[in-house]
Amino acid sequence: MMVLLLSSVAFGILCGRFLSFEISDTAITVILMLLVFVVGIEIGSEEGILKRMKINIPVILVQSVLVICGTLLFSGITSFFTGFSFKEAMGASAGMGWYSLSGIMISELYSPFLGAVSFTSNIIREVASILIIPIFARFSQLGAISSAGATSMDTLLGLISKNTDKDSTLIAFGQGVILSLSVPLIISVIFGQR
Amino acid sequence: MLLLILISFIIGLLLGMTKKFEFIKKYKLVTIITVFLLFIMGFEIGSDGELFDKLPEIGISALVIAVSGILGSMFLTTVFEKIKNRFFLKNNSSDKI
Repeated sequence: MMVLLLSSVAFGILCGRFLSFEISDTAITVILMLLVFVVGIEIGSEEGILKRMKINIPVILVQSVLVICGTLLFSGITSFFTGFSFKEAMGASAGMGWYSLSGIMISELYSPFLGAVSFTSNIIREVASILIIPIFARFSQLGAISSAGATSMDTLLGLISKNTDKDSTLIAFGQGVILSLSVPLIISVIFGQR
Repeated sequence: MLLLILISFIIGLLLGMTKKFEFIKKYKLVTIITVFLLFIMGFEIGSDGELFDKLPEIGISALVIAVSGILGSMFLTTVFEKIKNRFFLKNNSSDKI
């Protein structure tokens, strides 16, 4: 599974390098909707799903806050050895894996260079999560989910559902929703002048 | 886009609750779609020539930032999970999709 997923990223990079055509954003959105729809059906088919959702809402909230704090704090600390300021290092990680949005927002609000750093850093987060999730899920499912950041509701939701139980998949989707809503907000707070 | 995804998830959940769509699990749809999405992600990185040229310069700091961000969130959430399982709701479901 892991090899399959990593090679599809690598194959994509190769094709993108040598072929030139545009993949429309609408097509990507439709594919994302389909994925989320299918995972939704799988979770919904579970017995007692409503009760489980109720139990899991506080867990989703705590989990999301911890992912945000952990990411920002630990990335900020890298400012001691990367030559970035605390604010820059923290901001570059604030996409939580959502590379397209964070790269563009930081380029606009702050500097194109830090935007590129953030873009790359968030791609690395997503690719690293493909490796981390199957391995770490045996030790801690929430820990494994946290590495996916905001992508736990879309691209990595399939991988998570294959490696964790249904409660954790539900938490992963919730974490993805809350983080995706927070990312634009956090980046504007860190880099906004007004 | 976020709204569209949320709506698709909720529709999926509701349809799943009718228990009429369990046959969908037989096809490896989730894996197939994930492979496709990651291919698209790779494709977008590959077609960005400017990013490729800058990569040696920004790669290392991006890696350091990504790794510490991941470690930070994994550390806090793992501790949270262990505390939660120990003192509050014992999570004994081990079923995998």
